[in-house]
Amino acid sequence: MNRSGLIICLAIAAVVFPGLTALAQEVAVAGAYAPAPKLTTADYPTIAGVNSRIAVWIFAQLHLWFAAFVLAVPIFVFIIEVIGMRTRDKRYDDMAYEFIKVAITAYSLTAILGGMLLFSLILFYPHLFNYLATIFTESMFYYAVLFFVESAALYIYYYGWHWLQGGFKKWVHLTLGLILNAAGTTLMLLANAWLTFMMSPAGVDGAGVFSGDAWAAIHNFLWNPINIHRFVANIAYGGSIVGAYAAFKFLTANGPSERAHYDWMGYNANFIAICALLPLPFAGYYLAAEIYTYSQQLGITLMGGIFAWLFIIQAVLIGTLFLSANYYLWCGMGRSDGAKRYTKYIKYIAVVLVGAFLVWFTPHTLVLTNEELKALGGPHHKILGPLGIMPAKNTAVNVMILFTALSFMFYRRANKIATVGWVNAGNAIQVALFTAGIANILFLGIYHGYFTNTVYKVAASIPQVLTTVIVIVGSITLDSFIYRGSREVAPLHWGRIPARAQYALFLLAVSFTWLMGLMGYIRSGIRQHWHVVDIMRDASADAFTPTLGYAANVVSVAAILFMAMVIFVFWIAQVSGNKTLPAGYWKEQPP
Amino acid sequence: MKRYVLPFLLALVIFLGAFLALDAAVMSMQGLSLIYG
Repeated sequence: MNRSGLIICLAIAAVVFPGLTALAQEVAVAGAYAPAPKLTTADYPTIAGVNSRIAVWIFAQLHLWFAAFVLAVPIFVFIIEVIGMRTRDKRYDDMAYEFIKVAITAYSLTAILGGMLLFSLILFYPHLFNYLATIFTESMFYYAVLFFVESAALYIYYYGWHWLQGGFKKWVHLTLGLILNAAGTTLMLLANAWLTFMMSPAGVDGAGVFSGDAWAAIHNFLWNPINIHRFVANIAYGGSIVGAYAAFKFLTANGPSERAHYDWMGYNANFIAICALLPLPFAGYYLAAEIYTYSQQLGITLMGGIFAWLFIIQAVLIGTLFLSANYYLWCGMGRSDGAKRYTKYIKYIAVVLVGAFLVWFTPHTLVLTNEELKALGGPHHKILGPLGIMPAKNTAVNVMILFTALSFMFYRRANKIATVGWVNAGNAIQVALFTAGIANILFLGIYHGYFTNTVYKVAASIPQVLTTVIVIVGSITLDSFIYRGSREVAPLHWGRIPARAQYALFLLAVSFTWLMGLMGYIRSGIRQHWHVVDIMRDASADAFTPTLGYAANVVSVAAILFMAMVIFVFWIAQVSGNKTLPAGYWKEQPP
Repeated sequence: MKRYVLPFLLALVIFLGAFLALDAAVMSMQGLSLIYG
């Protein structure tokens, strides 16, 4: 039945049942789409004394952490399964199965937390949810349908793993993995549309009246920047969580073969996390630049106003990610008997990483006393001041990325002996490539950081990124030629790695979690007193920006709750394999 | 090792030139010059 038919039916019914008149009027208004409601504090229910903002904040964050994990794991499980099919090495298939086993329990928790988020939105913010549901009616319906598709695909994919093996059956299994990923990624894209609409509304007029074009509302200005950033970040995050799982299993392993298996699994998880971490700062820079482009006000609130200090905390956490990922790689070089040729260079990489890290989290405006201000001659030091703005940050992160790639190169070389005659010339070219690349990044950063205007500063970030990409791709290509037909020093000793390296994997997972919680708050918080920016005002008692300490505490409590749930997930995966045979408990069965 | 200094320097000059050309090309695609003006 179309909308006009519904109105006629309701009008006829209203003659018979006068009580339905009000409902008929409401639908008639909705037919032309009502403007965004103007709310008062009385429009926000208070239930059992619960702080509505805290409830939605924590449920949304917990749901998102688990959702990121269960969306990312099938992506790299699919890739690992393909690698296993190509190489016919069953270890890859077993590892992929173990990864998806961890995701299964997390999947249930994701759905439960999604339900909690939905209930808390409907109960605490009914008018906002009603307004969003009016605009995103169809996409919310398809979201629910996709949820069934994803669940069905995931359960067949997991429970059918050992059944769908070999030949045609394996291809059927892989296809299920593809369907699972398509459904999961589409779910994320739809949910991203709803939250980016709240930041950069489209498909509505100035009063919030919906034009009826659902695609315009979905494809709003910040939709794709968020899609790209979240897709890449989810993979890095998923890698770090399964890395923590492997570390947990390594530390509790019985015997060297089990330890070797989980060491190999931890290495692969860290590899996935680093591969996604390297392009992530660029996706984040693009997102922030698009936020500035959409609204100077949002952009300046983000990085020049109240939230700027949270970016300093973010910088510390990102530095922690790079340091812990590199530390794990350096510890992992102990698996090879040939690594001692390269260990002497590690201290120099560490010095560069720490130096870049210091620049990375240098604030632009310091908290100063009057005496300090006078001594400094103003709020900014003329030499150190520019270290607080983006050209310096871009330079620092590009250098960190290049040196992480260098750590990887040493790791790959550690167990190989080149047999080509031109190995020394090849190494000379490698050194020249890295030297020229770093010199170019420093030139672009220092020159534009100190001597040019903002337009030039932003424009110069692109050749910096391209330089980093060229050096990484060029060095990997050159190394593949240098080590063509190379000899192995000795078989790798999987499991020969100190326990402290496993704690670096834990640190990676915890830092990622904290970081996502912090940045999730920033992304949401820059809307300030708006539910939907410039369209629908937040009139609740909580329509203010809390202090930084308060916000950081809420994020930290949520992160601890999440970690407790993750430990539960790991434990469930552990006990599902345990068996107790109680002697004399069950009566003997007659033969 | 000394005989690899020359190939290193040659490769370094070539790479530096290539990166500067890349910088100039990318800046000009954005309507700007390599040197601020």
